[in-house]
Amino acid sequence: MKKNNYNIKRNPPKLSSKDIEQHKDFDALLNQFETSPASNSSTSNTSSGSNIIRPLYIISGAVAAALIGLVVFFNISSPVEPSYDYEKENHAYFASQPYVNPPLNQSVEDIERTFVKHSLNADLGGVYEHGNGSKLYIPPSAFVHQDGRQVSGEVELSYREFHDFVDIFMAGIPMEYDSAGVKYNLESAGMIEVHAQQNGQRLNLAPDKTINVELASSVKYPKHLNVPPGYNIYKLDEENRDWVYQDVDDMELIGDPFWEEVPTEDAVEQKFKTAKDNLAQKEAKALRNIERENPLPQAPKKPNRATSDNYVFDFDFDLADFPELKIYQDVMWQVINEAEFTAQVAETTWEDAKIAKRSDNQFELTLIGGNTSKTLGVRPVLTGKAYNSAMADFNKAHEEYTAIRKEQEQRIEASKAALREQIRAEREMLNFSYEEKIEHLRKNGGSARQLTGAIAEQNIINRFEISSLGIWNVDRPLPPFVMMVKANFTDEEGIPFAYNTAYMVDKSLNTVYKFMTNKNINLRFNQNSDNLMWLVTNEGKIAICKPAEFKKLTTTQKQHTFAFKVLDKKINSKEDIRAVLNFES
Amino acid sequence: MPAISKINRSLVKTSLRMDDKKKTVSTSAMEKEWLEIQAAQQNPARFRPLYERYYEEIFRFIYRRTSNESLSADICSQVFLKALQQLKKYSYKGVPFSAWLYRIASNEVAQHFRNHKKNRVVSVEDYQLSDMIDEMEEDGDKEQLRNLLLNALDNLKLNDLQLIELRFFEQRPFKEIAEILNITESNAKVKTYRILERLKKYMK
Repeated sequence: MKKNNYNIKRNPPKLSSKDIEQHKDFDALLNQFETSPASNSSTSNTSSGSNIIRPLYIISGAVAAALIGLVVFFNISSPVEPSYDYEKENHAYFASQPYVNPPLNQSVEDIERTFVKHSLNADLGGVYEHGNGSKLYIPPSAFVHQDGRQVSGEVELSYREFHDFVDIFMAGIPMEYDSAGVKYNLESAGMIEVHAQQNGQRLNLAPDKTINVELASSVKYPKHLNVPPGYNIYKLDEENRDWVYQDVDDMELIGDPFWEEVPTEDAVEQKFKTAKDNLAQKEAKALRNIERENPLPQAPKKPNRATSDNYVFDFDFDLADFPELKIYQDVMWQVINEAEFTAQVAETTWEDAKIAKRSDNQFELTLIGGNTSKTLGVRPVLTGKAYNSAMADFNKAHEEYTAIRKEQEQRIEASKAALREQIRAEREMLNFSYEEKIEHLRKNGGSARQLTGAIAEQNIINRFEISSLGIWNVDRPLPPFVMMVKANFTDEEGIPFAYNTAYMVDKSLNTVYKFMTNKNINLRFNQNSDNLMWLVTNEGKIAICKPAEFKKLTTTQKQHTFAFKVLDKKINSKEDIRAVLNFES
Repeated sequence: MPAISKINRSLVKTSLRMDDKKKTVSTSAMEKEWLEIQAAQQNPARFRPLYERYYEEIFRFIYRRTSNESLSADICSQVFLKALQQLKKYSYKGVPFSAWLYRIASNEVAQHFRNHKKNRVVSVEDYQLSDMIDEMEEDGDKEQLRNLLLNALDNLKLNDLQLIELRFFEQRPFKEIAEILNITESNAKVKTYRILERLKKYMK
């Protein structure tokens, strides 16, 4: 055997961490990288994009606990031309609008109707239980007037919850979050708005009181994580136009999660192979069944005629023991091997004889006499008239047999042909379905999708306490999307949408991205999910861009014009919105 | 197919036993790290936490194959420079980022020995040899078996030796070994089984 003469070091001396530490120098590495020829090409995108992508910051303070190592990019920003600052204009556009801005010109009364009203005695407090099981535990003497005086007597509680993108969109609740200058979008695991009033006057929560909340909701998360990620509690500060971090959410998981499997390409292929094998097995089994269910008739036995070669003899036996010999009414027996039938056998007087079947047409005759016995191979034969009669019967029976067999064979063949046709169609469907699934997977980012896998949905109870009335959110800041295109937005006739508020949602995330439309915006989105985008036109109509539009994009595509379909349908309610804002193509 | 069945059964037994003690990284940790990588893909300065996290690990990996501190430092610098240069091409495949760094390091070490026409260093501890002998279910005098195994290792081709080093001397899971050596996971398992069988023969 060839030796490689490796330089094998057995139990070699070890280096300490300190020894290694002294060689470490990231700044030198970075410097080397920036001056190396390879880095110029590999970083050109970064440097050219530096004015359109916010630099990254590590979050500090309270948020850092939940977001160690998380860094984000500003989601949507782009200059149309070098002197144009989209980011600035986008900011100014939304700054000029109410911070909580229901999009569909809903009246105060319309909005008020979305709250559930509940009366309670402010002196005693109480528990309000919402229809979905959420609970508010209100302590005694919890409310004060605007001027700080204690409230006594009956108060009216107004309460509503927001669970999905339609709730968030309809309420006009901003989901952008600024932490130390870094912009995020918050993903919600349930949000509430609670107010109290007496005689039409809004009340405040007393400074030393808190309301304990149990918010029943659900969260989505990649199934392979096994449990939902951590969420925080934020309060909407409408005055300062931002969310304010309050605490870490205490989340209880209720029951088992459920999910819709998102197959990987390997899984689809494996499933396809298994289905193909199963189909082949099904075909083989069905073919066997056809033959079993349509047995061919038994061919009649042709009688043997005695020949002159070997000895023929007769003896009595019970025909009932050998029903196959019924054609041999006058059966005789002929020795098969004449050599066995010696003179001694012929001359001996045998006292008894036994016959047993050896094969289809051969028998074993044992002749017994005193202490001796002799076994001979014999076959049944007919002679003369008996043979002719048996042959006539045989010919008739054979004719009938041939006709029945032919009929049966045709029946079997027809059944088999029908089965094969059915299997062929099933196989074709299987192939088609496989190709379709693979194409769909590939269109949706194939290998990357394998990472995401199924999205699990888990029912939860969020427990937290609120120290003021208003909008409270169970949230987590989201990492950035990787896919980015230079986007333009038009209606189906190609007329551009500019200075409209556009909304975008990712099916796998419970949030709403909001931005101002303009030309050549850098739009970031999750290429591995279904995305839905819409806007409200200047005429107050909803214009939609369905997931299929996003799927037209290739991973290397740099630019795309998103064509929105303007709906003529009148939108009057949240149900109307739900009917049109769905991910179906 | 009786022979294949036999191999598979043995392989399952071996790999199950071996998997119990291998280093693993949780999926959530890998996904958090993927966010850091994406950040570093956009801004190389953000590579720092990854560099800090893996420098020592990669350095030791190289050192075990060179047994030379300053050479290891040079190769390690090259590894991280190449990692930075190629970072934009990196995509998450469900294995730790370190597996990718090990792959670069493995290539750099191999390149060094090719360029300098020197024999590759193999660092091995006695307990690692003992573990391997246990895995191979070889009975006998331990010291004698260790010597036999060391001798047998010298018969292995470099690719096979690398697999043994990663699996038994560095305790890497098969999934990562597959990523480092650019082979499939099942291929890594089958190869490991076959190499162990070969080593057993060499030891006779």
